[in-house]
Amino acid sequence: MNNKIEHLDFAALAELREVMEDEFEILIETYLHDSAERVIQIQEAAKARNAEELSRAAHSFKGSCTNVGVPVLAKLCMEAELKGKAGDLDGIDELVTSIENAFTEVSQLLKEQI
Amino acid sequence: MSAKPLKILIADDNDSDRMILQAIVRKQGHTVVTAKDGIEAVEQFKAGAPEIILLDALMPRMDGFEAARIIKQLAGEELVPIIFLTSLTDAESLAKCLDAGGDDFLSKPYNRVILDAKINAFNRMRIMHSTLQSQRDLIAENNEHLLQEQQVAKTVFDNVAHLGCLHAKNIKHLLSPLSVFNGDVLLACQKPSGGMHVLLGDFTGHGLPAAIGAMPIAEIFYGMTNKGFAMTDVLREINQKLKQILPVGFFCCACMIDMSFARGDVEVWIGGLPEAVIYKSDGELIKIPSNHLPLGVLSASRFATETYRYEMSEGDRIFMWSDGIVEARNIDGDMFGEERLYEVYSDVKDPSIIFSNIKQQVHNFIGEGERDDDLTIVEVEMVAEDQLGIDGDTHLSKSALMGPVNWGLSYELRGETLKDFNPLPLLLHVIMEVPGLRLFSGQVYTILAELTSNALEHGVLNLDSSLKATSEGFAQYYALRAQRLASLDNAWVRISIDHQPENLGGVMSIKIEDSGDGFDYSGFKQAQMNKDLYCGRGIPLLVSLCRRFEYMGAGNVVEAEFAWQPE
Repeated sequence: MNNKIEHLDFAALAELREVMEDEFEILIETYLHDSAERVIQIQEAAKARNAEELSRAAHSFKGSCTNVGVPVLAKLCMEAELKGKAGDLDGIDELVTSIENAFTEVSQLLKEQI
Repeated sequence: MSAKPLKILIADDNDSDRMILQAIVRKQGHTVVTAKDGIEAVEQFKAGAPEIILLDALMPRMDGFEAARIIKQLAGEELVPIIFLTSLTDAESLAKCLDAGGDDFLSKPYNRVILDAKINAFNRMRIMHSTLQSQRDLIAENNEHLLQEQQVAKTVFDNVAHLGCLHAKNIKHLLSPLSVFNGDVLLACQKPSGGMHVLLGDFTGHGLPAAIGAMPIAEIFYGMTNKGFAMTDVLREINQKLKQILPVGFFCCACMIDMSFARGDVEVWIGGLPEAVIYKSDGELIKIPSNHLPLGVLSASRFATETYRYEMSEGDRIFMWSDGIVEARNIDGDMFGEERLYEVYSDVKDPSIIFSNIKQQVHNFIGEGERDDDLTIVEVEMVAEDQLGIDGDTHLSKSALMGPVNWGLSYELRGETLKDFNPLPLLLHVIMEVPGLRLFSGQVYTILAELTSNALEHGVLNLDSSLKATSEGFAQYYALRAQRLASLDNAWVRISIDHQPENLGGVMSIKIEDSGDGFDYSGFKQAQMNKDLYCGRGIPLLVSLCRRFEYMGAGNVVEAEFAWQPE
C-alpha cells in the first residue's frame, strides 16, 4: 500500500518513540481512543449543521494528529475546521466521509507500529 | 537542560497531546503536574506553585484564557511564565493569548529543542524578576530602616545641638532644613560671666555627615562656654576636633561672636562664611568680612584666632548668615545675591523688622524655585543684660537638684604649668557641680579670675600694678610679665577651695598661696578704695563680692569667702 507513506510521518513517529520510550504504545492507544471520539463529534456536528462545534472538534483533532505524525488526516481536519469557521458547510458530508476513511486507515497503520 | 529542575504545570484536555508534552518535559529533567482543563489548572497552581505553566487555549469547563487571568492574579508580583499551547495561527487568537496574561506560544507539533529553549529562557527571566523583586524589597527595607535611624539620630542631634539660649529675646533666627538634617548649625549659650556666645556654622554637604560633624561642635561649644572658656579657646578646640574627625575636603564655615552686654561690645571671629553685618541704630552698616579659613581645615598650630571687636549700643544688631541666603535661587536659576540682601538695609525705618524683611525678600525671590542649600540667618541684638528673657538658666539648673555640696580641694600649679595653663575652666567645672551655684557662676568666675591672676602677676612675678596707671607703663608691665614668666624657676601657686552648705545655699572658701615674697598689706584697706587708679581695680570688686577677704602671712596668702543663697 503506497498510502502508508502518505498517511504516516515516520520520522515524527520515530522521534515520538524515542521520547515516549515504554509509553509509546499507551500513547498510540490513547490517541486512537480519543480520535474515535473526535470522529464521532465531527460526524454529529456535521449532521446537526453546527458549524462552531464542527470547527472546535476538527481544530482539536487536527492538533493531536499533528503531534502524533498523521499529516493527511491533520490536513483533512484543517479543511473541516476552516469550513466550520467560515460557516460554509457545502460538501461537508463528503469531507467527513474522507476523515472517517482516513482515520480507519491510520488506525490500522498505527496498530502495526505498536 | 536547566541547572535546577523546575516544577512545570501542563494543562491540556487532549490526552495524547498532554502525554507527549509531559514525556518531553520530563526528559528535560523537570517535574510535571498535569491538568485536563482550566479549573484543574488553577487548582494545581494553588496547590503546588509551579514555576512555569504550559496552558492549552481551548479546553472544556474553563478555557486557557480564563485560567491564565486567574493564575496571573494569584501570582501577584511573582513572575509565573505562561506558555500557551496552541495550533491557533490567526493574529487575533494569538493576541487574545497575550491579553489574558500569556507570555509566549508553543505550536503543534511540539518541537523538543524549541520547548527546551523556551523553558530555559523563561526560567532565566523568572529568576531575574525574582532577583529584582527581592532587591527592590531590600532597598525599600533599607530605606525605611535608614529613615528610622535618621529620626532617632535627629532626636539625639536636636537634643545636643539645640540646647542653649536661642530663645533669648535678643535673638532672631531662621533655620530651614534641606533634608532630615540641616547642614547648618546655630548655637547660642550664655557665659558664666554674663554675655553670650553665638555660633553659626555651615558644613560642606548636608545630611548625616554634616550632622555628625555638628555634634562635637555643639558639645564643645556648650561645654566650654558654660565652663567659662573664652571664645578663642572654644574655636581652637572645635577646629582641632573637626580637623581630627572630618575627612579631607570636609570642613565647617563658621562665624562666632562673643557679645558682652556689660561692656557693650562684640568680638567676632569669621572663617569662610559670607561677611557678617552690624547694623547700628543710627543707620551705619559695618560689614565684617571673613578673614580666616573654615573650622577643621588648619592644624592646631596654624589655626589663627584674631578677632574683630566692635562697640555696640543698645538696639544695635549683628547679623550672620550662611551662603544659602546669598545663593538662594529663583525659578530662573538667578541667585538672590548680596546686592538684594544689602538693599534691605537701606532706608530702614524700623530696625526691628529688618530680620523679617530679609526672610520675606528671600522667600519672595525664591518663589517656586528649588532650595539647593540651607537657609540660615541669625540676628543678635545688643540689649541690657536683664532684657534677655532667659529665666534662671533652665538647661543649666536641671542637674542642680543633686550634687556635691560639702567638699574641699587643693590644686597646685608649678613651674612650666604656671606659664601657659589656665586653671579656671577646670576649677569652675568642679565648682559648678554644686547644685544651684551655677546661677552665681559670674561672681565665682570673677573672684577666681582676679585671685589667680593676682597670685601669678603680683605674687609670683612680683609685677607692680601701679605701672598700669599709664599707657607706657601698661606696655612695660606686659613686657616684664612675659620676660619674668620665661625665666620662672621653682615657682608655684596653690589654690585651695572649700565648699560647705549653709541653709539653702553654701559658703565657698578660697585660699590662694604663692611662692612670691608677698607684700606689706598693712595699708591695703586704704589703698584698695582708690578706685581712680587703673591698677587696683580688682580689689574693691572682690571685697564687694566676698563676705570675708583678707591677706595673711607675708602677704603671699589670701583668703576669701563667698557666701551664696538661692533667691
